[in-house]
Amino acid sequence: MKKGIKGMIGAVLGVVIVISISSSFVLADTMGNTTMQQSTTAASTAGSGNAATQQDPSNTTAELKFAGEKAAMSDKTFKLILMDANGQPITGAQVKITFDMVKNGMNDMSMHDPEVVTLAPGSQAGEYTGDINLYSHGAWSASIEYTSNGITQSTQVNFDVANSGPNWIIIGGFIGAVAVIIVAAAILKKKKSAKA
Amino acid sequence: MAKAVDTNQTVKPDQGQKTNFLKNKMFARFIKSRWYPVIFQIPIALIFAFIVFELIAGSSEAHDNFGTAGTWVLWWPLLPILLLLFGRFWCTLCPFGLLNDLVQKIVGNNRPVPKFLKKYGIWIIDATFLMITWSDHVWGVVESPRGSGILLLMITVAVVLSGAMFERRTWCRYLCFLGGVSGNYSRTGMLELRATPGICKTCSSQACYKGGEKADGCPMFEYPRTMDTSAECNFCGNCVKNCPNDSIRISPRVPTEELWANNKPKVEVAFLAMVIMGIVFVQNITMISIWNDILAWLEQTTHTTNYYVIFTITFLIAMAIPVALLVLTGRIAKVFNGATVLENFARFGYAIIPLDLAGHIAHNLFHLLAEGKSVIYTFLGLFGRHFDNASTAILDNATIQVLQFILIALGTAGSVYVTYRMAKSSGFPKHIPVTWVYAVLILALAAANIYLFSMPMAMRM
Repeated sequence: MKKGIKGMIGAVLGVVIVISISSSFVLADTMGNTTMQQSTTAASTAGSGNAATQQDPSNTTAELKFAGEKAAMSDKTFKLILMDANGQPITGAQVKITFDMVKNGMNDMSMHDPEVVTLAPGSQAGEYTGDINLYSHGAWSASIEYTSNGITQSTQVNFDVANSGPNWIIIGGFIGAVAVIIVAAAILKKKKSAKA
Repeated sequence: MAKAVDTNQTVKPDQGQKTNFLKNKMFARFIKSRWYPVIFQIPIALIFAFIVFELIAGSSEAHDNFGTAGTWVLWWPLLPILLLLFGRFWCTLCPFGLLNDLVQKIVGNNRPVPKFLKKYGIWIIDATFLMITWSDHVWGVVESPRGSGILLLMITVAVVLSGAMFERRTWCRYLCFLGGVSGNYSRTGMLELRATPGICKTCSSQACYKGGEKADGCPMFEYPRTMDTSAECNFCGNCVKNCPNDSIRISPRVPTEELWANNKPKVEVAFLAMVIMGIVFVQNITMISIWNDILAWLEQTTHTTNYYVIFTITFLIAMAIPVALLVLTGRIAKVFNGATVLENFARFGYAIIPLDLAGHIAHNLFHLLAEGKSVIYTFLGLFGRHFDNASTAILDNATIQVLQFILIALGTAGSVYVTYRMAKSSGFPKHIPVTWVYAVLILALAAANIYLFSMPMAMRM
């Protein structure tokens, strides 16, 4: 009986240690990398969700893509796809984007300075990639400036950043660990009272 | 519940001349009422829950996260100040303590504290404190809301486990790293709870320790009749409620008074005191501009750019220096007082606590006063109000620096005076030369602090 109780305490401790160690890895991961699982397009106007593109007066098209169903906080890597008026990819362009939160009036302004990101060519024609930390949810603007064949053009894409929401792995691990401890403790307590 | 009472402690004579706040009827009625300490615990637990939620689900940028500001800019800097003023009163309000009590009431098995915890608990606390400080620097726990949130959740799991399995507040007494630090600082605190031995000698109930109808026994495993330190008392009021003879008093005292005549110094407490000094050094060094130069030098010397390796080396050196200096001064003091190096280490390590506390408050004063408004900004941010490039400073840097120097001066004076009183009451000869030996060490540590505080420091938010 004593062995069983010790075994159970050992098992509970084991679970907690495993969860703690996994949490540490998740912790390290959370602070290091953000993985992309699914691609979607940023909204062309603030608040309109997943709208795809922005066309500038010269009829070129800029499409901004983030991970997830909607651009979310902490997204790191993004893609920009540039197409000319004929729908052909614009290759070999020098591209930079200035990201900033959209201001709503005098008192509603970000404490951050706008962030300028220089993009590198992506894996496909017309594709460019860069990293940005979308630090807060709300309306954002991306001022895109690209130079191709000696001509510099600019356009702007507005998009919404969704709150990244809770990390369900962490919360699930936490709730699971607490539940295991409570259940084990309740069983032990019941056995103890039955014995008494 | 544990039945063994530690009676191997010094019983001090009645100190009837001390002011007793419990003589105030209204105050005594409040402490004895069922509302104390619940009336404080519940709102603090709710705020804590909200802060954890914010850390886990709010903005991933520390700059915009109310949880980060509330935890590291407000609560953490205020904590050492609270410990100086009210001893471990915070531990009574602590949401982890409340959680421990709740879990214990529902599914608690109330097993006795394992012997190894009683024996090595403070060493585990020392190790945990070092580990958390190390991981903060390596993984940036403070700067990452998610990291801070996960740390709090991990502690919560450990508290639930401790509350479910073991009796009373095993976690708070033997495992909480913050409790260890709080215990050390509380020795310098301005508030004490003691029993009146003259009254207690006729008492056979021991209700203060065992508990009674009105409240549980001391959650911190203390027996007020023989308690001669405030390191483990959290002013929960259980002994006040249970005592049938109104023997308990709560009195103000001169800061550091408890350290003046320490008859049972422990090596592990002295070690923690020195390690805290090392931690304050690390915290300061990594936040000032010369850190980059040190990093570059270490990279060249160690032939690696791996931050884990480089920081670990720095960390170990910073921890080892104060400990080595205390060993060295112990050897020099041995020439005068004839005590062993270990005896000197254990006794005079306590003398560093006032300087530790001063350094800790001074370091965090910068965060509190230079970034304090971020608490308001991030709170208003929850309601959609943002502030453009608004200063987070409550006071300018020059003023904060002067306050830091004043704190270090006070801490130094406190440490030197404690050394003098300790040397005098130790029973060993030549207390003046011994005081000088340790005064040199304290002044050297103070000078290092002053130098570090004179450099511009990075912000947390």
